[in-house]
Amino acid sequence: MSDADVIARYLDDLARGLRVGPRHKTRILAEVEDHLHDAVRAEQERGASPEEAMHTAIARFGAPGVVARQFMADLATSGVRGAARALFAALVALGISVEITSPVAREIFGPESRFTAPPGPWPGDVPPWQLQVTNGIATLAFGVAIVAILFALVQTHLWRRGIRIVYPEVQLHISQRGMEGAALGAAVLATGALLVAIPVDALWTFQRAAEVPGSPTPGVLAFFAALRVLIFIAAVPFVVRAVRWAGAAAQHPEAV
Amino acid sequence: MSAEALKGHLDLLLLAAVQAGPAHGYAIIQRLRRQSGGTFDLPEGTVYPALHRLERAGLLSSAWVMENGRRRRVYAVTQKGATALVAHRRVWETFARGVNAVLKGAVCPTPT
Repeated sequence: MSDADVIARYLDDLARGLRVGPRHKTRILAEVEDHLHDAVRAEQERGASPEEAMHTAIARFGAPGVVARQFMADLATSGVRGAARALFAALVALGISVEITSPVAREIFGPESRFTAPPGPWPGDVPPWQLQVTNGIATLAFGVAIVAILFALVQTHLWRRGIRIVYPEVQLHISQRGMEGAALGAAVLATGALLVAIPVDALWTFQRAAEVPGSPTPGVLAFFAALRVLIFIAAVPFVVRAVRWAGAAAQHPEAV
Repeated sequence: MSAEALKGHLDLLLLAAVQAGPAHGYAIIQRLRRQSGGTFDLPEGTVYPALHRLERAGLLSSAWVMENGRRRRVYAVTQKGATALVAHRRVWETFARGVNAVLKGAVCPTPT
């Protein structure tokens, strides 16, 4: 088997362990291929036979599975950070879209505004129980999402302080894995909570509009419901990617 | 030195090695090995994920460069990376001074 064949087989094995986009994968493989060619040449210049040079170059680089998992372990960290940021951005956008359609916003935009909800006509401002139930579920789910997203953001912020460069190594290893897992769990929990909160909140707005005269039309309500779904959908790929990368890195034996 | 012993210091070492001048991965590893007198003989496959991580953090930049007719990915330290290196070097020197003092049974002067 020629040098090129051995390197090609190594790159194939490495590629199988890399769960990244094609562009990223191509770059990694090109760099590794370059490195292996350099290493083989250097070994041969030191007097090794072609076979010995190839064997040494690959042994020094490491098993393809270990190298791939090392890449994935690093990506998992940035993936969780990206998921936390995307969810936070989605939360802010959802919060704005909820607030600008609320009765409070009506006081700013005026009673003629077509997208704000008028105050309820109920005595003591206590709506019927059906509305209380849906509103309660939506509020609880949004509350869980807010807490989980803020938790994930704080966890990822700790990584950004660059403590990994100077921290005592063993403590850092445990602490980073723990933080990563906790932040990823929080991001997944937040995604689940939003998955409940957004449709239940949309149901609540339709229920409320049916009870309160002067409410926005179903078309306007549907527009805002769709907007909130789109905001949520925009954040989901970041969470899915973080979970995929973390899964690929989960069996990583050691991280340098 | 084992990979275990290097854990946590690799980023700092790589930043310092790249600061000597833009270089591709293989050259960076050789530079680390040469400058450390062979002490930092890293598992080479662990260096590339670290280089990519430093690039994502904005501490390194990289670009494809033609070199002797070959396309190479060359890394360079960014302004942010240079600033981070200065800060981390200071922290490391304080840490190393303290460890050395304790190991030698001396008293380390209190940082001012």
